[in-house]
Amino acid sequence: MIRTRPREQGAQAPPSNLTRRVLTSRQTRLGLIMLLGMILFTIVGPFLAPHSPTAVIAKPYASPGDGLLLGADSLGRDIVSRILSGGVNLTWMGIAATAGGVTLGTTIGLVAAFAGGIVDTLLMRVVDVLLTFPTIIMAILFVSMVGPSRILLVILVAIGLTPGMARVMRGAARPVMRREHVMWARTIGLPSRHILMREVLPSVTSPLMVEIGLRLMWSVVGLASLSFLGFGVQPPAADWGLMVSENKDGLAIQPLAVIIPAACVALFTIGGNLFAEGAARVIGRTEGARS
Amino acid sequence: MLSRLVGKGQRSRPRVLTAVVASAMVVSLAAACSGESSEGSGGSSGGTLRVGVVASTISTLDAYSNLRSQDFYVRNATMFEPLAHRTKDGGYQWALATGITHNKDNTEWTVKLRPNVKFHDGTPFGADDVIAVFQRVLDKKNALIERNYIDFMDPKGIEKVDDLTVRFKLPKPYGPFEFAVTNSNIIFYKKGSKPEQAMGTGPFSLVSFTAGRETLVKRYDGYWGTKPKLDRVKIISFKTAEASTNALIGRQIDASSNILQTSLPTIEKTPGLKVMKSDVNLKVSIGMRADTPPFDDVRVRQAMRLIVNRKLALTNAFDGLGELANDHSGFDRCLPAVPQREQNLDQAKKLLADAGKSNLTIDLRTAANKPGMLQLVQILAEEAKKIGVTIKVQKMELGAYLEKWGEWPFYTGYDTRPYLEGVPEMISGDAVLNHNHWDDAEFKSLAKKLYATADAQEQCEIQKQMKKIEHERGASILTATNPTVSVYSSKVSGLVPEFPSGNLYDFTKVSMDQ
Repeated sequence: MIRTRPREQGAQAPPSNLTRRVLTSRQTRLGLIMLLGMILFTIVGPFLAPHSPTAVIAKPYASPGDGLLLGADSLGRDIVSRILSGGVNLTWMGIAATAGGVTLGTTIGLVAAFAGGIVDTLLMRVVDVLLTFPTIIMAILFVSMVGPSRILLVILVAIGLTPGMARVMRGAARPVMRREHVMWARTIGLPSRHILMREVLPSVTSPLMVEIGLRLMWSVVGLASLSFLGFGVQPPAADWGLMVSENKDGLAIQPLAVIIPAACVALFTIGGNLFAEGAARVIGRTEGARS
Repeated sequence: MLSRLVGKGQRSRPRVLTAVVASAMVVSLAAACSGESSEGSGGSSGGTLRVGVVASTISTLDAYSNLRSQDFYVRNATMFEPLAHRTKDGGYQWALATGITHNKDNTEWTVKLRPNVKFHDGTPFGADDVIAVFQRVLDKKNALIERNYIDFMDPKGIEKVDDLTVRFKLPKPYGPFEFAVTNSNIIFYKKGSKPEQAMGTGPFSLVSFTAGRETLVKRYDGYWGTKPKLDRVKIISFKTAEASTNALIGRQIDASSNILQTSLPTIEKTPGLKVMKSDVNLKVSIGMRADTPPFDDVRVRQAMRLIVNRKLALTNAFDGLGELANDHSGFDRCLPAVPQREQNLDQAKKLLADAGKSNLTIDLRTAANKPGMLQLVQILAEEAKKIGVTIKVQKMELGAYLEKWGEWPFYTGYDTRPYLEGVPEMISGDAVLNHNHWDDAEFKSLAKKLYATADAQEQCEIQKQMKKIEHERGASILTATNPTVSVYSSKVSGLVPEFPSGNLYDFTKVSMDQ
């Protein structure tokens, strides 16, 4: 009796229930559809491209026509093919960076909340220091020193996401530490790892889910910005952020080469934001009621 | 060889642009006197010209700094002067010198200096200043690039005859002496002055300098030549050509010679901006380090040269401005009798297979610091893909790129110098100068002959042979020769396409509508 009760409350309740609750909101559904639609677009896109995204096949900034639906970019490459191929890096890098940042941030936040005392203070001060360092500037610094590499970018963005994530998760986990089931687990001497994974983590899934949505958007925007600034995906690869940067000088003659990739990044992030925000509202409403 | 890397390369300005400057100066030998009226007075139209340059954030005021980007060359051209400016036809416009004579066997050269020239602090310029500069350049400890142009001199053989005469006694005959000492980077400052004083004799004097940000100079009223019309020139540094282009469109600057050529169509439609194309004087190059694999094999180097589609590069990377280049340095004089190299992927593939380098994968680094550079490397990479060669373009920040200049195996650079000036670097043992580490015995022995003769005809014949060797086995890919495209506000007048002015180094004739 005493054994199972805390579990029900902490571990099982959220997942299935949560998903269902979250999807009752229209905003959340719309956001999710946009987000999944864009991810699908980036994955399938490269296979639908009529030309190679890097082949030089026309005059720079050629107007639409001659088999090029939207014309050519600054180097004479097909815009349609570049748009279709330009999101896949952003998607995988964004998801990987989010996964890394969320995992690392959650771990730090939970450990800090669980351990308390000096460990908590120490971890949070380190996080404070990291928070003062803007992600983009940090990324530019390291990319300048080491040279651009996609893995490096993923790591840097993940590190950039970590401090914010750690703070939120620590805040969410602290009240959980005082709950019966956690205190019970500590009393009977279960290993810390076990308590964190089985007792604490399941109790913070709601904020975690909202955060994942938000962080994914931040990493997408961050990665696109880095590409725009020339520190991200390197030419000649197709990439939305890079496309905006490459073609911005031709804005007056060939505006589509800038507007469409910018709109793609926007759709991606707006979808994610709608979802995260909607989810946060639903959770705030329903969980507030529960407790 | 030819590729000067970004920063360092800009020195070539002298050649053409100087001609213009020079002519301005020569016209007015008279002026040597006028006192120190305050800036802004004098009835000229005045105003401040804001010039955008693409420059590294680290730079110093020293006229012989080893940190060189565009700001260095523009700044120096306003405040300092060489002995003479070279003209387009191979002659000289005398500046700080008035003539150079030599003995029969080319071992003793005498330079007469211009009288009544004053430094910005009002003190007279003379033989001691000239000797001090030559001694500094020749001192190996200082490791100055200019030493390569005059290393035929013996520092002990330079003597003062009188205040306005300097004699150079050479250890062995040297023909193109005038050409060497009139290098536009061999400029003169006051002996014993501190670098941060920038104490020159030029038409403008220093007001303030912030490294990596801007240099402000004002008209020097004690200037010996035609005084500039402008009150001040502000040289503003930008990190990229994109930034300087945007600043120009946004009217934060009045003129820039470092703009994105792809934005020309936009600029041409923008009211209030004018476009000026200079004489062709720029070659963007892709360098291949010839002493390390894979480029130590000449077949690999030739394959790379056969991969690039030059016509496509000219139209799509350089916006059709300029003409095709043929893998040798130098500009339109003394050309070798070799056919224009064309793209030939089959032959390139075969050469790579013979060299055992099929399916080569290699990084190509660029700081994209000249118009068309980034586009050119992408075109090369795209063509290379067709025969299984993977070229990974790595765009780098300029500072980080220059830090390892001379070490990159595959990289971009540019060259703007006349052939006679470029060759000493191409045969140098110094990796910073001879950045592609090309070492060709026949080329070197021809170079020796080139500098032993003072006969222009003979020099030209030797140059043709040397360029042929470059074409056959050199270590740079040269696809096109370009003009420098400058854009300036329609408020600015007096800029002409000829070299000094055409590259925005000479502002003596420029005026601004207020």
